[in-house]
Amino acid sequence: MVSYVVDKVVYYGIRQMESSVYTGQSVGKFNQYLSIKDSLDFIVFGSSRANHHINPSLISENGYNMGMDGQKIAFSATLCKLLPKREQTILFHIDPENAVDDLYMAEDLSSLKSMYYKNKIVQKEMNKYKKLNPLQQIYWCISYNGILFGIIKNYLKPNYNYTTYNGYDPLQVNNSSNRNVLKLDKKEIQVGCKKKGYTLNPIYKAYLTDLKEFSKKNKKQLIFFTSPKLFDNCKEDNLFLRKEMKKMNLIYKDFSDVLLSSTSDLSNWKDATHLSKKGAENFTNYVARTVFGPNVK
Amino acid sequence: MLFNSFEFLLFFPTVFTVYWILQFNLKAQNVFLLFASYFFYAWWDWRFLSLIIFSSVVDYVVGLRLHKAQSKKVKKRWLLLSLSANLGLLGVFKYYNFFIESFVDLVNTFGWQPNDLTMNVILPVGISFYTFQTLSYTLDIYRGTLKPTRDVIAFFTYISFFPQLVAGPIERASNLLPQVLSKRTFTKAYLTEGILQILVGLFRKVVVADTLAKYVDVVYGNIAVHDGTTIVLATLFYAFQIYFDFSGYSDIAIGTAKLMGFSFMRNFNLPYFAVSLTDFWRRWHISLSHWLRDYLYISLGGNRKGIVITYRNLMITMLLGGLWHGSSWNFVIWGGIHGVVLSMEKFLNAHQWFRSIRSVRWVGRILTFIVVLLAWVFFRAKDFDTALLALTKVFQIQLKMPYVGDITVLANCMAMLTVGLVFDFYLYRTNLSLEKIGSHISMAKLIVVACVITLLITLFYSTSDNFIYFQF
Repeated sequence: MVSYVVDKVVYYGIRQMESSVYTGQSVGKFNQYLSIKDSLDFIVFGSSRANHHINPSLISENGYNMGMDGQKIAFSATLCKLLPKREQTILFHIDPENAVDDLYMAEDLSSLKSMYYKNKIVQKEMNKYKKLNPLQQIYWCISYNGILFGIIKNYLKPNYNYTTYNGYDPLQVNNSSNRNVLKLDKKEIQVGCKKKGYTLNPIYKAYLTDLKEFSKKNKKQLIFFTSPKLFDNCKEDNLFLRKEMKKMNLIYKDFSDVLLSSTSDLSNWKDATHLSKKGAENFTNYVARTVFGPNVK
Repeated sequence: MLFNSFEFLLFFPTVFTVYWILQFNLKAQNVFLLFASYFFYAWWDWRFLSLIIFSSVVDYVVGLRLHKAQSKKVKKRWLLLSLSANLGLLGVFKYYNFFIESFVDLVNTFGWQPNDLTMNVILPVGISFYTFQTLSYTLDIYRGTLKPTRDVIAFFTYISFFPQLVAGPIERASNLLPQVLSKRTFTKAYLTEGILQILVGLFRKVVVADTLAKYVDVVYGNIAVHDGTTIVLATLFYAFQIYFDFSGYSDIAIGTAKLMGFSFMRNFNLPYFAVSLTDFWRRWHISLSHWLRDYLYISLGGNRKGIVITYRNLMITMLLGGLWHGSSWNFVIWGGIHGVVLSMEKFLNAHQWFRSIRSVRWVGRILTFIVVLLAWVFFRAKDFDTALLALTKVFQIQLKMPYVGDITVLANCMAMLTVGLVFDFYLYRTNLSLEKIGSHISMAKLIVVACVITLLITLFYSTSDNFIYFQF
């Protein structure tokens, strides 16, 4: 009983501090997104391959990149569902190998645990896929598990000026380290596809359907895309996803081969799955031209 | 079922309540405890319950027969039966593939390539622990230091008692069996001690050890890409990870047993404060080191048969002790390193100059810690080549900034390790143990401590698949 009360006191203390944090990946980026989401025209969602690859400022003057490391469809779709009913363009990153991964169980939703008691939509999604630690119902401080130091640090000394931050985190590279990493990655190149006969993961399917409905009801232009990848020798999953998206009547752009012609120019790459700053900006310009046309801004 | 699982959170309060309701009927209490322990084990895989029951039946019968036997020859036969049955099971389930693979590797060097003889064997959780526990019962009866029990329920409960079933402490029959056979009483001292030990154990395991595991797993998962400085840092973290993991497990086990009115032996006593490797083994996994000393080292002749035989016995004990941890040459090497250094210590202790160096305690502590750290590389690396690569990189001595990775993980590692170490330092300086603190703590203080530890757990817990020692 005492411990239950202490937990609530500490929880509200941290929450108070956390609500004024706008920098850092653990909560700052969420808070910034929540504060500006209604006024945005263009938003990018997805994993690190969205976060490091699309500079929203090159596509829209009022854009934000909400891509985050390690996140998949459940996390991004939940954040997408927080958007208001007004015209907005959404560029949503999707990786074919994740979409056909039978083992995916929406684990990425757990990253939203700090928002569980603050947002009904997040709460609903986490409950739906049972991604809440049952003890979090009793001990609310679990919402801030593992991120307290990040919150304190960003509260006391913000990392950057968030008012000029658009969510995009470019990856700087130096040539020698870049070459080494690529050499190592090359050793692990997959020869052919890991499996035969693909099915769309049911959670992916459910979220794709949800997103389609949501976009229709809330005046969104929704575009799914796949980022470039080096040494991707399995294209069957890409073809499969293309067909599925077409069946579901969703716009999908598979850019996995873009920039591959320049494998000799390693400065475009940080590693086999991530573009460098230079590569990301080349890629964003390519997306801007091919998807949105010349007058995109 | 893991101590840090949600299932255990439901299991234990239920067992605790029913257990104490039955306190006026010892037989019923023991029957309940036996079934609760079997349920606890079966939660992992019910099929392997048959192995525990088999071991229990064998040693129950052998114990009675040994006691009854008049001649030494007959006694030896019964002992041999128990050893063959218990070590046979251990051999098949734990070491079969290891010995076959080693044999195949050996004959391959002579050009013979036999067919694949390995089997798909699942290692039953806790088999090494309960095998040693049942063996100690038989060996004590054989030596005449223990009388067998006729109470089959009490004996089966002693073998399978859930707090110590899967990862120890390896309780001797002489300590635990009389407690199973006699009425337990619920005392305030055991209650406060138990709660404190469980909370501290949980903190050590899910906060300190599991947080450190995140960094260690990343580095040891791909030694090739990391430099020497990073490997040193990861090995340092691993040394504390394994300590907090296993000592945390032992604390929870001991605390849980206390809440049921049982007193287990102490399994850890601040091992990284040891001034020599001999001292380290008096403080690390005490129930195993005592077992090895009493049933292996002494059985081999101990130090009674001359200096050369003493060194031989020490090496055999440590090599087999290493092998007990797992079916891999890395564990044998780990045991070998400890054996060699223990022998060296024994040899050097005869010299005055060594004793005077050793009398400077911090020198001893640092040297001991370095040896332990070096040996942990073999313990943690997935195979011999990886361990060798790690050590090669470490001894190239290129001072660089270590790999940071996720800064939050590293910050949590540093902070939680500091909390864990400061608490251990406090225990060391005040010469207190958790038991002592627990038995004297007031309810009000315990509530404050419980609130603080619960907060630390909720804010900093990390998740790991298992307790490290479950795999042994």
